[in-house]
Amino acid sequence: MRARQEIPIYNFQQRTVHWIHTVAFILLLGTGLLVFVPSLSFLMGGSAISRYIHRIFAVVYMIVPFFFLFTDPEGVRSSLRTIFTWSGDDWQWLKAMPSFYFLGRGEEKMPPQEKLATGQKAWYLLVFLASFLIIISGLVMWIGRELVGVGVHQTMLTIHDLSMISLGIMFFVHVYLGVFHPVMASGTLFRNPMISGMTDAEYARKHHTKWYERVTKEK
Amino acid sequence: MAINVDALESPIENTIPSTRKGVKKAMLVDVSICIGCRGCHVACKQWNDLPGEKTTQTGSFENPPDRSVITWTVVKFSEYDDNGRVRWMTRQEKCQHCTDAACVRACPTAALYHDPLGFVAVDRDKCIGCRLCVIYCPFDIPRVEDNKVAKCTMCQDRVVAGRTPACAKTCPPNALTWGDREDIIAKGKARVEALKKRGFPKAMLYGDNILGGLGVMYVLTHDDPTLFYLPKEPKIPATMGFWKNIMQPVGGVLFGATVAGLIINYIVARATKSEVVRSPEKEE
Repeated sequence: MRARQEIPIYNFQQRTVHWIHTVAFILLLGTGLLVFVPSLSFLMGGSAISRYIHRIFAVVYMIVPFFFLFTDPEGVRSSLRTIFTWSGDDWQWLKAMPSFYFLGRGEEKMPPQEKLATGQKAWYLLVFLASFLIIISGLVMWIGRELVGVGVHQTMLTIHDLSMISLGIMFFVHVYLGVFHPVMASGTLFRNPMISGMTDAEYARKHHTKWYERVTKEK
Repeated sequence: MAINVDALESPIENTIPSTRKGVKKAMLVDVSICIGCRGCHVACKQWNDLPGEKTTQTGSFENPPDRSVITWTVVKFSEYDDNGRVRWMTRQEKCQHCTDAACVRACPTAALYHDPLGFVAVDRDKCIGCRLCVIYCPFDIPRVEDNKVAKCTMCQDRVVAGRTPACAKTCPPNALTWGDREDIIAKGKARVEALKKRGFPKAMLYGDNILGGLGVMYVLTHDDPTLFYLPKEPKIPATMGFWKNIMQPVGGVLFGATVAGLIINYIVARATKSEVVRSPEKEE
C-alpha cells in the first residue's frame, strides 16, 4: 500500500477557532431553537438557563474570530477579498457542480479550484454575512433593548431568526460535504483536515488544483 | 393593617352564580367616571400580595409612572384640548385580556395562557424570561424581571369563586364594573349614548371588537384613543404572523428537505460515482 502523502492545510489557530466556533454555534442554535419552536420548549422546564448559555456563547461566537485580526491580519484581509471576489471559474464551477455532487460524476468538467472551492467560498460568505446580521440584531435586542422602539426590536428578532435558519440549514450541508459525501468528503467525522491540519495530497491536487500547485511549487 | 378586601365582600354577591358555565365575563372601565383615586392600584396590591414601590415625585399625577412586575395596574393621566376646553382624564391601565392575545400566541412555554374563563393567565413557573410577550404585546403590558413575567391575571383566584376582581370591587365611584360580557357591552354602549348627550359627542366604547374582543373595555370621552395612551388599531404584529405562519413552517420544511436531500444525495452519489474519483486509498 502506497504511503499517503499529506500536506498542511489548516494551522493550529485556524483549527482551534473553527472548533470553538462550532461548539458555540451548536449551543446557540440549540438554545435558540427552544424558543423558536414552541414544541421543543418543554425541555427548558421553566428554567432561564438557556438564556445564560445563549448569552455566554454569543460572546464567544462574537469574540473568537477577532483573534485573527491580531495574529494574522493579512490572512483576514485575503480571506475577505477571496469570499467577495467571484470570477468566471466560480460560475463554471456552479454549472458543473450538480452532476459531480449529486451523481459523483463529471469531475473533469470542474474548473481548477483555489484553497477555498466555490462551494466553500459560498458557505464562508454566508457565514460572514449571516453572522454579521445575527450579531448586530442580537446586540440590539440584548444591549440596545431600552434604546430602540418595539418595532425595531420585532424587526431585529425577525432578522435574527432568518439568518439563523439559513445558517442552521447550510450547517448540515457543510458537515455533510466535509465528512459524509461519497466523493467530496476530505475525511471522516473523527479524522479530517480540520482536526489534523493535514489534507491528502491527492485529494488537494484534484479538488484544490490551483492551491495545490502553488504550495507544492513553493516547497 | 391593610384593609381585608375579602371581609368587605357582600354576602349577597356570593350567592349570585356569576360564573355560570359558558357565560363570558368582562370588565368595563369608564374614564368619564374615574376620579383617579388609585384605589384599584391599592386593592390589586393588597389582594395579589404585591409590595409597594418607592417612587420619586416627577411632577406628574402618574405615580408610579408605569406598571412593573410588582405593580400590575396603574392610573394613567391625560389631558387634551376639547374645543378650547381642557379635559382632564384618568384611566386605569392593566392587561386588556385579549381574546386573540399576541402574548399567548408568542409564549413558547405556555406560561401565558387563556384560563377557562377566557382571561390571560400567568404560570410563572413555566416562564423562561424570553420576553417574546413583551416584544409582541400590542398594549406593552407584560413586564419581565429576574426572567419571570408578571401582569394582571384578572384576579383569577377571585373570579373562579364567583367574585369580582379586586380593582372593580374596590372602585369607589364604580368606574370599574364587572359582569357578563353581553351586559357589559350593552352597559358601555348605553353609557356612550348618555355621554354623547352630555357634552361628549365623540364618546366611544373601546375594545368590544378589538383582537377578538377585549376582556377589559373602555368608555372613552373622545374617539381618538391615543389621547388616553391607547393604540388606535391594536393588532397582532405583522412580524409575529411572519414568524408563526411563514418562518416556522417554511424553516421546518426546508430543514426536513435538506436532511432528506442529503440522505438521497449520499445514496445516489455512492451508487453512481465513477471509478476515477475514488480516493487513492481505495484504489490500491
